[in-house]
Amino acid sequence: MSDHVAIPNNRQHPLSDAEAEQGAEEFRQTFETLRNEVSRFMVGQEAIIEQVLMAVVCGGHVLLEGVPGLGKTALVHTIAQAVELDFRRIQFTPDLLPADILGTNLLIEDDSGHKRFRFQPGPVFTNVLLADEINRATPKTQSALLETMQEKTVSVAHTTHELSRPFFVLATQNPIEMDGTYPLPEAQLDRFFFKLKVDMPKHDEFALILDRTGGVDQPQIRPVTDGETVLRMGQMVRQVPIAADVQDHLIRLVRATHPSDANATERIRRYVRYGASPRAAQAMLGAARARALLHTRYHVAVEDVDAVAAATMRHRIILSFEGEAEGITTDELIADIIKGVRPAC
Amino acid sequence: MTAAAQLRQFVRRLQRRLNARQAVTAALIALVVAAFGALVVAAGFVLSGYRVQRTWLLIPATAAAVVGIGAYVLRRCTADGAARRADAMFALREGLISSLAFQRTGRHGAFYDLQLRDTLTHARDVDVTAIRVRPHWLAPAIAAALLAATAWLCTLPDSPLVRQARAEADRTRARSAEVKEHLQAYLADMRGDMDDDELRRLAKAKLVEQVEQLKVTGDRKAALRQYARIERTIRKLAERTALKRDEQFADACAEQCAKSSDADVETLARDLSDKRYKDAADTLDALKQGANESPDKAKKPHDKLDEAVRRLAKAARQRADLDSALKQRAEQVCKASERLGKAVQAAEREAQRTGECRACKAGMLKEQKDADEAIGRLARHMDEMDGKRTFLARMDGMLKQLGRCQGYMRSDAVALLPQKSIGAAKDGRLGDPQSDADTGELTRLRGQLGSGPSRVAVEHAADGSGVSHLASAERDARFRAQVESFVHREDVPHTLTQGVKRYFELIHRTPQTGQPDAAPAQSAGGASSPPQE
Repeated sequence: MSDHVAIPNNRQHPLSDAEAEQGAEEFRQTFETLRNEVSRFMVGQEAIIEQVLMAVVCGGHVLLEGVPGLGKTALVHTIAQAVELDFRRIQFTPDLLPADILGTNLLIEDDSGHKRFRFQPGPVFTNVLLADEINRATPKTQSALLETMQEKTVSVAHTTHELSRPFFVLATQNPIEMDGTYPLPEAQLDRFFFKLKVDMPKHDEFALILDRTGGVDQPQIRPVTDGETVLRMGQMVRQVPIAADVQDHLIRLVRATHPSDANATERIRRYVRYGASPRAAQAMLGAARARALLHTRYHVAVEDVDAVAAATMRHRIILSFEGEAEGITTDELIADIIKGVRPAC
Repeated sequence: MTAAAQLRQFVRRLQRRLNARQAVTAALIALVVAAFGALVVAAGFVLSGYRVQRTWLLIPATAAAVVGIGAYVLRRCTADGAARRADAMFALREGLISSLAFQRTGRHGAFYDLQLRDTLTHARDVDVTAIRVRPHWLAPAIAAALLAATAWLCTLPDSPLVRQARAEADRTRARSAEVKEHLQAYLADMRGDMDDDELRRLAKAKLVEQVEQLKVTGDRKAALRQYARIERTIRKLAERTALKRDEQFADACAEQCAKSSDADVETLARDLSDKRYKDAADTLDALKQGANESPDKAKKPHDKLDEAVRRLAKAARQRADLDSALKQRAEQVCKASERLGKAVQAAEREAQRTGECRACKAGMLKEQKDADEAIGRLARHMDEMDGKRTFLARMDGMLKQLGRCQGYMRSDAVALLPQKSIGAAKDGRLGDPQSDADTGELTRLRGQLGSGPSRVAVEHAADGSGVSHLASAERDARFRAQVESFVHREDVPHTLTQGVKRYFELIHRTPQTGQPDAAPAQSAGGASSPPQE
């Protein structure tokens, strides 16, 4: 914990210029420290690490998609260790029940012989929840996470239980092995801040992975920050201002994913059934703010918006049957939109 | 100075610089557009064969100036626009536009201040002079090249064809002025000779106004159209006058009256036959009965009238199909005469039986009066016919003058009027309308006006059954004139023109000298010698 930095909490009073400047600087330092610590174990995947950390500080959930063996689970585990947060892992299987995730009421008998119900919290009561292979559970079980992810609460037997903060779900899914899987419902997908695609490491990264993990000594991950700091970093992000022109560009990008919008490209009209939701715009704004702060800026630029557009919208765009049949990816469509919607500024 | 003020000042500098560049660009675009437009206009003139009208060059210049000013006004940078462009040019990542927007919306806070300070720091590194005001050399070079080309085109004169067309237009203009003057003078002369009736008819036709309104024009077709309009007016006037049917009936009457042995009726027949309707009217007046109370006295003039009336009635029966006012008048006279005859006979019978009958006398007197009135109406009608005939003769003269004018406009004749010969009594235009009437010495051949040259020549021929001919020299001269006229036409290829010239040079070359002969070649049969080639 020696690398901990103190980020001022501005909930009580407005920040002075010096406090804000110091807070922004400390944000960047903390972020860099976290990134470096995670990178000690994770080889390559710099963009994935940065985006997962951005989602963490923004309080968002991340869906990691990639073939098995790319280090998705290890990444989540490493982040949980580096942030020194409570970490739980749920291996999603077809026979998993909602109660296995959320918890259940148990009938117990106390010392006096009276019987009563006591809530037994499930693994969701944690800070970092790894939902491994989330698409292997049934939609009923997947839906158990809806309230948890949005409200950060669990309601069982007319009682709502608050989750500890910070709370974020880092879910993984395998895009190849589709037998016995259930595609995530749109409502569930919409609750993920980012959907990140984990690619195969490059040749030299492969060598580094083997060097680090093949020997006797394994890199030890030290906690470099805590949950409180992560929450304050999130508050710092929300203060980054955005000009009307840039915000207008962001809105036009999101609206252009809808086939009925005037700015929609021909491919969008043809291949998209439904576009990104307003929640996508919120996620894009939060991520763009975090990126601006990371790049030593105190305002959101168009390039910040464009940079996070794919990660925030790729899972929120629903392809039409024709799009699915043609093998169109949402990343291609988003690239088209970014090219087509020119910023006003 | 506060950071916000410094930023605004920086943006204003940017704005000025960008607007200056915009103004230079707009001016340059306008210059290129003006130069290109001027070149197109000049090329249009030159390709049409005309010398460039320099005032026309003002049109593209003005249009380009308007376009340039419009482009500058529309594309002029506002403060926000300058900020946006500077953000893009100097990679400030929307820092300037964001700062301006935050200031405009009055947002305050630590991050806004930091943003402003950060943007200002980056702005200080920006070199505003990096925004180039001086244009690239290519555009001014293009404009200069276009202007030089335009200037060269402006130095080119009219093409020979245009010069020829212009000369033709000048000639046509002069001729149309001459024709107008001629027609005005002719009309003035004609009006001087007219009586009141004719003047009234002329005024009604508005012919004078039409002649006054003739425009002096360089367009031959337009001039010819004007004359055709006047001609049409005169022809309509002739149709409205409706003299033809009356004349046809008068001819029938003349034919019948000529069979009479009565001197007065014969005189009437001659007058009608010779179309001397005024004299015929006088003759008819002589047939009036007067007021003869005695049946014996009334019988003799009535017999004379009866003779004439029988002829007229026969003519009326003969031309029963003719709808003529003269015929109606004649029939009225016939009926009046018939009634008068019956009244005279009744008076005679009563006189023989009872001596004197006042009632019969009164009836006879009334019929005499009616007959005289009918004769008077017929005579007046003939008098009018005479007036109409004179008027139409004058209009015919006017038509001939118009025909002459049209021919003058079409032909290469030197003068509108025939050259006045020595001792000529009077000017041709003042001459008798009938002066160029058919004399029997010429065969007048008419064709469709404007349908091209006639293939038939007017040949002189002796009276009788002799064979007409033209002297070979005259034929050769005519052929030469025709061919020369042909080779001067615009649509004849140059090679053909040269060929024809060469032909004439060869046929007029004398064998001894090899030089062209001044006199036209003549052969025994009037045919030209064949080419020596």
